[in-house]
Amino acid sequence: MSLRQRQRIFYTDSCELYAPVNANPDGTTGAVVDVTYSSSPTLIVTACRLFETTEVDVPMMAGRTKEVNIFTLDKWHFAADEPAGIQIADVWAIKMTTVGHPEVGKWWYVDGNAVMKRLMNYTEVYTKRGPAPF
Amino acid sequence: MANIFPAVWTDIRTALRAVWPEAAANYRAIQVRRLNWSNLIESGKIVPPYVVVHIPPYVSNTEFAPIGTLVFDLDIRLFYIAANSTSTDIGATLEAKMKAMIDYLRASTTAFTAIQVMEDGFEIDVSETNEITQSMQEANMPYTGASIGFKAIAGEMPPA
Repeated sequence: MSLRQRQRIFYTDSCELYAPVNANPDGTTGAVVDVTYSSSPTLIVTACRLFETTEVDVPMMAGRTKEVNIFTLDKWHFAADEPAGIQIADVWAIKMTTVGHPEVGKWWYVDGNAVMKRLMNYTEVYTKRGPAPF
Repeated sequence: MANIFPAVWTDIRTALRAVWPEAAANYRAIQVRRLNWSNLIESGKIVPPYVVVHIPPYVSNTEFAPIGTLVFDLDIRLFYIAANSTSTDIGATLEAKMKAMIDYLRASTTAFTAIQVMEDGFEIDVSETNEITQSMQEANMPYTGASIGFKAIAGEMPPA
Protein backbone atom coordinates (compact mmCIF):
# COMPACT_ATOMS: atom_id res chain seq x y z
CA MET A 1 0.00 0.00 0.00
CA SER A 2 1.31 3.44 -0.78
CA LEU A 3 0.16 6.91 0.03
CA ARG A 4 -3.27 7.64 1.39
CA GLN A 5 -5.38 10.41 -0.06
CA ARG A 6 -4.14 12.99 2.45
CA GLN A 7 -0.57 12.02 1.75
CA ARG A 8 -1.04 12.15 -2.01
CA ILE A 9 -2.08 15.79 -1.60
CA PHE A 10 0.59 16.90 0.84
CA TYR A 11 3.62 14.75 0.10
CA THR A 12 4.94 17.05 -2.59
CA ASP A 13 8.64 16.83 -1.79
CA SER A 14 11.14 14.43 -3.27
CA CYS A 15 14.54 13.44 -2.02
CA GLU A 16 17.42 11.01 -2.21
CA LEU A 17 18.37 8.96 0.81
CA TYR A 18 21.95 7.99 1.52
CA ALA A 19 22.69 5.24 4.01
CA PRO A 20 25.93 5.47 5.98
CA VAL A 21 28.55 2.96 4.92
CA ASN A 22 30.23 1.25 7.87
CA ALA A 23 33.08 -0.96 6.76
CA ASN A 24 33.76 -4.28 8.46
CA PRO A 25 36.58 -4.39 11.00
CA ASP A 26 39.98 -5.29 9.70
CA GLY A 27 40.46 -9.00 10.22
CA THR A 28 43.91 -8.61 11.72
CA THR A 29 43.78 -5.42 13.76
CA GLY A 30 40.06 -5.02 14.36
CA ALA A 31 40.32 -1.41 13.24
CA VAL A 32 37.34 0.12 11.52
CA VAL A 33 37.20 2.99 9.09
CA ASP A 34 35.05 6.08 9.49
CA VAL A 35 31.45 6.26 8.38
CA THR A 36 31.17 7.40 4.79
CA TYR A 37 28.39 8.04 2.32
CA SER A 38 28.35 6.64 -1.17
CA SER A 39 28.04 9.18 -3.96
CA SER A 40 25.05 7.18 -5.24
CA PRO A 41 21.78 7.34 -3.31
CA THR A 42 20.50 4.27 -1.49
CA LEU A 43 16.87 5.15 -2.20
CA ILE A 44 15.12 7.70 -4.37
CA VAL A 45 11.88 9.03 -2.90
CA THR A 46 9.32 10.76 -5.05
CA ALA A 47 6.74 11.56 -2.37
CA CYS A 48 7.57 12.80 1.07
CA ARG A 49 7.25 15.97 3.07
CA LEU A 50 9.69 18.18 4.89
CA PHE A 51 8.47 20.09 7.93
CA GLU A 52 10.99 22.76 8.73
CA THR A 53 11.41 24.39 12.09
CA THR A 54 13.13 27.45 13.45
CA GLU A 55 16.86 27.77 12.91
CA VAL A 56 18.77 28.87 15.98
CA ASP A 57 22.51 29.23 15.73
CA VAL A 58 24.96 29.65 18.57
CA PRO A 59 28.58 30.78 18.40
CA MET A 60 30.99 27.88 18.65
CA MET A 61 34.67 27.54 17.91
CA ALA A 62 34.01 26.25 14.39
CA GLY A 63 31.68 29.16 13.72
CA ARG A 64 28.01 29.70 14.37
CA THR A 65 26.55 26.23 14.70
CA LYS A 66 22.97 25.11 14.57
CA GLU A 67 21.57 24.38 17.96
CA VAL A 68 20.08 20.92 18.16
CA ASN A 69 16.97 20.38 20.21
CA ILE A 70 13.43 19.17 19.64
CA PHE A 71 12.33 22.67 18.60
CA THR A 72 15.05 23.15 15.97
CA LEU A 73 15.14 19.73 14.34
CA ASP A 74 13.37 19.49 10.99
CA LYS A 75 11.03 16.56 10.32
CA TRP A 76 10.70 14.43 7.24
CA HIS A 77 7.66 12.25 6.69
CA PHE A 78 7.62 9.20 4.42
CA ALA A 79 4.89 6.69 3.70
CA ALA A 80 5.27 4.06 6.41
CA ASP A 81 5.19 0.94 4.31
CA GLU A 82 7.38 2.06 1.46
CA PRO A 83 11.12 1.24 1.43
CA ALA A 84 12.09 4.72 2.55
CA GLY A 85 9.83 4.61 5.56
CA ILE A 86 11.00 1.17 6.52
CA GLN A 87 14.73 1.59 6.06
CA ILE A 88 15.65 5.14 7.01
CA ALA A 89 17.46 5.38 10.30
CA ASP A 90 19.88 7.38 12.40
CA VAL A 91 22.87 8.96 10.60
CA TRP A 92 21.28 8.60 7.17
CA ALA A 93 21.66 11.61 4.91
CA ILE A 94 18.84 13.17 2.94
CA LYS A 95 19.29 15.33 -0.12
CA MET A 96 16.31 17.35 -1.26
CA THR A 97 15.44 17.09 -4.94
CA THR A 98 12.07 18.87 -4.99
CA VAL A 99 11.99 20.81 -8.24
CA GLY A 100 11.52 24.49 -7.60
CA HIS A 101 12.05 24.27 -3.85
CA PRO A 102 14.35 27.00 -2.52
CA GLU A 103 16.44 24.38 -0.75
CA VAL A 104 16.80 21.91 -3.58
CA GLY A 105 20.22 20.29 -3.40
CA LYS A 106 20.59 20.85 0.35
CA TRP A 107 21.38 18.09 2.81
CA TRP A 108 19.91 16.93 6.09
CA TYR A 109 21.24 14.37 8.57
CA VAL A 110 18.94 12.07 10.47
CA ASP A 111 19.18 12.40 14.21
CA GLY A 112 17.79 9.32 15.94
CA ASN A 113 15.98 6.36 14.46
CA ALA A 114 12.71 6.66 12.57
CA VAL A 115 9.40 6.45 14.35
CA MET A 116 6.64 4.69 12.49
CA LYS A 117 3.02 5.75 12.90
CA ARG A 118 1.22 2.78 11.40
CA LEU A 119 -2.28 4.14 11.99
CA MET A 120 -1.45 7.29 10.05
CA ASN A 121 0.76 5.48 7.53
CA TYR A 122 3.85 7.60 7.93
CA THR A 123 7.37 7.28 9.21
CA GLU A 124 8.93 10.32 10.81
CA VAL A 125 12.57 11.21 11.25
CA TYR A 126 14.11 14.24 12.85
CA THR A 127 16.94 15.82 10.92
CA LYS A 128 19.38 18.70 10.99
CA ARG A 129 20.46 20.58 7.92
CA GLY A 130 24.15 20.62 7.16
CA PRO A 131 26.74 20.80 4.40
CA ALA A 132 27.12 18.05 1.82
CA PRO A 133 28.95 14.94 3.05
CA PHE A 134 31.16 14.76 -0.02
CA MET B 1 55.80 51.72 21.46
CA ALA B 2 54.86 49.89 18.28
CA ASN B 3 52.01 47.40 18.24
CA ILE B 4 53.62 43.96 18.32
CA PHE B 5 50.50 41.93 17.61
CA PRO B 6 50.31 42.26 13.80
CA ALA B 7 53.72 40.62 13.61
CA VAL B 8 52.55 37.87 15.96
CA TRP B 9 49.65 37.09 13.63
CA THR B 10 51.95 37.24 10.62
CA ASP B 11 54.13 34.56 12.19
CA ILE B 12 51.12 32.39 12.98
CA ARG B 13 49.75 32.70 9.46
CA THR B 14 53.17 31.97 7.98
CA ALA B 15 53.18 28.70 9.90
CA LEU B 16 49.64 27.89 8.76
CA ARG B 17 50.50 28.48 5.11
CA ALA B 18 53.71 26.49 5.33
CA VAL B 19 52.33 23.42 7.07
CA TRP B 20 48.67 23.37 6.02
CA PRO B 21 48.58 24.97 2.56
CA GLU B 22 45.37 23.06 1.75
CA ALA B 23 43.56 25.17 4.38
CA ALA B 24 42.78 28.17 2.22
CA ALA B 25 41.11 30.18 4.99
CA ASN B 26 42.15 30.83 8.54
CA TYR B 27 40.04 32.78 10.98
CA ARG B 28 40.52 34.37 14.32
CA ALA B 29 38.13 32.85 16.83
CA ILE B 30 36.44 36.20 17.39
CA GLN B 31 35.70 36.39 13.65
CA VAL B 32 34.47 32.91 12.94
CA ARG B 33 31.99 32.85 15.81
CA ARG B 34 29.95 35.42 13.89
CA LEU B 35 29.96 33.32 10.71
CA ASN B 36 27.67 30.38 10.00
CA TRP B 37 30.26 27.87 8.87
CA SER B 38 27.85 25.39 7.29
CA ASN B 39 26.12 28.08 5.26
CA LEU B 40 29.48 29.31 4.03
CA ILE B 41 30.51 25.80 3.01
CA GLU B 42 27.17 25.27 1.24
CA SER B 43 27.66 28.47 -0.72
CA GLY B 44 31.30 27.70 -1.49
CA LYS B 45 32.66 30.68 0.43
CA ILE B 46 34.62 28.30 2.64
CA VAL B 47 36.23 25.28 1.03
CA PRO B 48 37.24 22.89 3.80
CA PRO B 49 39.58 22.28 5.46
CA TYR B 50 39.81 25.57 7.27
CA VAL B 51 41.59 26.79 10.38
CA VAL B 52 40.53 28.75 13.43
CA VAL B 53 43.17 30.41 15.61
CA HIS B 54 42.31 30.89 19.25
CA ILE B 55 44.45 32.81 21.70
CA PRO B 56 42.99 33.44 25.16
CA PRO B 57 43.72 36.75 26.92
CA TYR B 58 47.37 37.74 26.66
CA VAL B 59 49.07 37.95 30.04
CA SER B 60 52.35 39.77 30.50
CA ASN B 61 55.06 37.78 32.21
CA THR B 62 58.71 38.74 32.48
CA GLU B 63 59.86 35.31 33.66
CA PHE B 64 61.71 34.74 30.39
CA ALA B 65 62.57 38.34 29.62
CA PRO B 66 64.98 41.05 30.71
CA ILE B 67 63.83 43.50 33.33
CA GLY B 68 61.76 46.30 31.90
CA THR B 69 60.51 44.50 28.81
CA LEU B 70 56.86 43.90 28.08
CA VAL B 71 56.48 40.22 27.23
CA PHE B 72 53.24 38.37 26.79
CA ASP B 73 52.51 34.69 27.35
CA LEU B 74 50.49 33.35 24.44
CA ASP B 75 48.62 30.05 24.73
CA ILE B 76 47.98 29.59 21.05
CA ARG B 77 45.56 26.94 19.80
CA LEU B 78 45.21 26.14 16.13
CA PHE B 79 42.01 24.32 15.20
CA TYR B 80 41.91 22.38 11.93
CA ILE B 81 38.44 21.54 10.66
CA ALA B 82 38.06 18.95 7.91
CA ALA B 83 35.28 16.99 6.27
CA ASN B 84 35.11 13.32 7.29
CA SER B 85 35.09 12.42 3.62
CA THR B 86 38.73 13.55 3.51
CA SER B 87 39.88 10.04 4.45
CA THR B 88 38.70 6.73 5.81
CA ASP B 89 40.35 7.44 9.15
CA ILE B 90 39.87 11.11 9.86
CA GLY B 91 41.46 10.74 13.30
CA ALA B 92 44.70 9.45 11.86
CA THR B 93 44.68 12.14 9.18
CA LEU B 94 44.24 14.88 11.75
CA GLU B 95 46.92 13.46 14.03
CA ALA B 96 49.35 13.59 11.13
CA LYS B 97 48.43 17.22 10.47
CA MET B 98 48.96 18.15 14.09
CA LYS B 99 52.31 16.38 14.25
CA ALA B 100 53.44 18.18 11.10
CA MET B 101 52.69 21.51 12.75
CA ILE B 102 54.65 20.57 15.88
CA ASP B 103 57.61 19.55 13.71
CA TYR B 104 57.51 22.92 11.99
CA LEU B 105 57.27 24.87 15.23
CA ARG B 106 60.21 22.99 16.74
CA ALA B 107 62.43 22.97 13.66
CA SER B 108 65.67 24.88 13.98
CA THR B 109 65.14 26.17 10.46
CA THR B 110 61.88 27.86 11.38
CA ALA B 111 62.56 31.52 12.08
CA PHE B 112 59.72 33.56 13.46
CA THR B 113 60.11 37.31 13.65
CA ALA B 114 57.83 38.13 16.54
CA ILE B 115 57.15 35.01 18.59
CA GLN B 116 59.34 32.52 20.33
CA VAL B 117 57.83 29.08 20.73
CA MET B 118 58.43 27.42 24.05
CA GLU B 119 59.96 23.98 23.67
CA ASP B 120 57.55 22.31 26.07
CA GLY B 121 53.81 22.45 26.55
CA PHE B 122 52.62 21.14 23.18
CA GLU B 123 49.15 19.66 23.23
CA ILE B 124 47.46 17.70 20.47
CA ASP B 125 43.71 17.19 20.79
CA VAL B 126 42.13 14.79 18.31
CA SER B 127 39.67 13.55 20.86
CA GLU B 128 35.92 13.65 21.08
CA THR B 129 36.22 16.36 23.73
CA ASN B 130 37.75 18.78 21.25
CA GLU B 131 35.31 21.72 21.23
CA ILE B 132 34.82 21.58 17.51
CA THR B 133 34.34 17.83 17.29
CA GLN B 134 31.91 18.03 20.19
CA SER B 135 29.75 20.59 18.43
CA MET B 136 29.97 18.68 15.15
CA GLN B 137 28.93 15.43 16.77
CA GLU B 138 26.11 17.03 18.71
CA ALA B 139 24.77 18.46 15.47
CA ASN B 140 25.53 15.17 13.63
CA MET B 141 27.60 17.00 11.03
CA PRO B 142 30.14 14.98 8.97
CA TYR B 143 33.05 17.19 10.02
CA THR B 144 35.74 16.76 12.63
CA GLY B 145 38.15 19.14 14.28
CA ALA B 146 41.56 18.77 15.84
CA SER B 147 43.74 21.26 17.62
CA ILE B 148 47.33 21.85 18.50
CA GLY B 149 48.16 24.02 21.46
CA PHE B 150 51.52 25.53 22.14
CA LYS B 151 53.01 28.29 24.23
CA ALA B 152 54.84 31.23 22.80
CA ILE B 153 56.09 34.54 24.05
CA ALA B 154 56.09 37.86 22.24
CA GLY B 155 57.10 41.23 23.50
CA GLU B 156 59.06 44.40 23.14
CA MET B 157 62.09 46.07 24.65
CA PRO B 158 61.64 48.76 27.30
CA PRO B 159 61.09 52.31 26.05
CA ALA B 160 64.25 54.28 25.46
